[in-house]
Amino acid sequence: MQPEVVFKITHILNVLSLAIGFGELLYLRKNSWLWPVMVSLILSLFWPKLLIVSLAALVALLFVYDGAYNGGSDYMNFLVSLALVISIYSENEKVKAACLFYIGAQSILSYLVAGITKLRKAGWRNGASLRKIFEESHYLSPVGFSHYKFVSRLVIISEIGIISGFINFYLGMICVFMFALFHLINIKILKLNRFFFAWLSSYACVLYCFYRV
Amino acid sequence: MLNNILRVLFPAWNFFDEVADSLVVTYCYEGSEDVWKNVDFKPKKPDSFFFKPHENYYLYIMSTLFKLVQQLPALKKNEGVAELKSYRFIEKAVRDQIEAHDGDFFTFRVSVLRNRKPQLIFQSPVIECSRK
Repeated sequence: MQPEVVFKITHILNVLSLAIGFGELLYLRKNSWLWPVMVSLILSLFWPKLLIVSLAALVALLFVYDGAYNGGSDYMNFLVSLALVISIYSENEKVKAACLFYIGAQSILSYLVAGITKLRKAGWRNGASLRKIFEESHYLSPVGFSHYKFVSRLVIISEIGIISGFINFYLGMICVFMFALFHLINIKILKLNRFFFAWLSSYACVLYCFYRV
Repeated sequence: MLNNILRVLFPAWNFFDEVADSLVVTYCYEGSEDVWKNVDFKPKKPDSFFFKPHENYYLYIMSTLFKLVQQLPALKKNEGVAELKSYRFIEKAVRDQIEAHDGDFFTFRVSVLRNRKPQLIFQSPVIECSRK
């Protein structure tokens, strides 16, 4: 895996993820100052240094919305953008590689920590927490879901299983494919579309980590 | 603000660590305190599969509501609640949802649903309907 290719894929998917995030706010006629940011974001595909404008906009949005607008997806977008901008402005090949590692490590950590956290909670192990999310929480989830215990345990095993990529690269590829599918299903059941794009933008770096380690 | 930046730079990644109880917002007009109506922040119609401006805005409203509830214990008898960004945002969100103005002033309540029964945790001061 060539770092340049990993960078290019991550950059394109990051632009897509940010465009959807900014686009949703603009569609709601909020933060009209994002229009020029959107233009610079698209132009960054040809002049990557322009990505710094989008990074500045992400920081500004933290002030506007008193924290993240859409939680984890904003965190991931910010981390990926920050690492890409450092990589773009740096001349040092080691720094560029470290940036790709940083994105990959954060993405791997996101699954691993989430999995361990769930494993330690009895409510997750017996499916009660998942049932609560579907039946009582504010998420716009469909009614009539079942097999909470089985699905809970599957999620925990899958999230912790991300580390298998360090043992075997092809296992890592399967994990990444499964998680893309997991996020796609989450769009359908929990309406979390922005998580799909934010995490998708980190997957090339995840595979880069598995490959290099 | 520094906290917000630090939280983004070093995310906890502990998604769904605790699944919080559902929050419910109700409102009534001044003078008719026996008629509390539900405020439904949910989008009126579903968004498209990959582009969900209204559904994500709804999630932001709900996360701000949770933030408000978490910030309340630090206030003495809710004094200074109007200074909180989260309160000001929720106040505006509630006002936006009240379409037919049957009064000049309103107040809203935030309750938590425990075992499907609402328990009051906050009541706002009286608010002018037309204030934008």
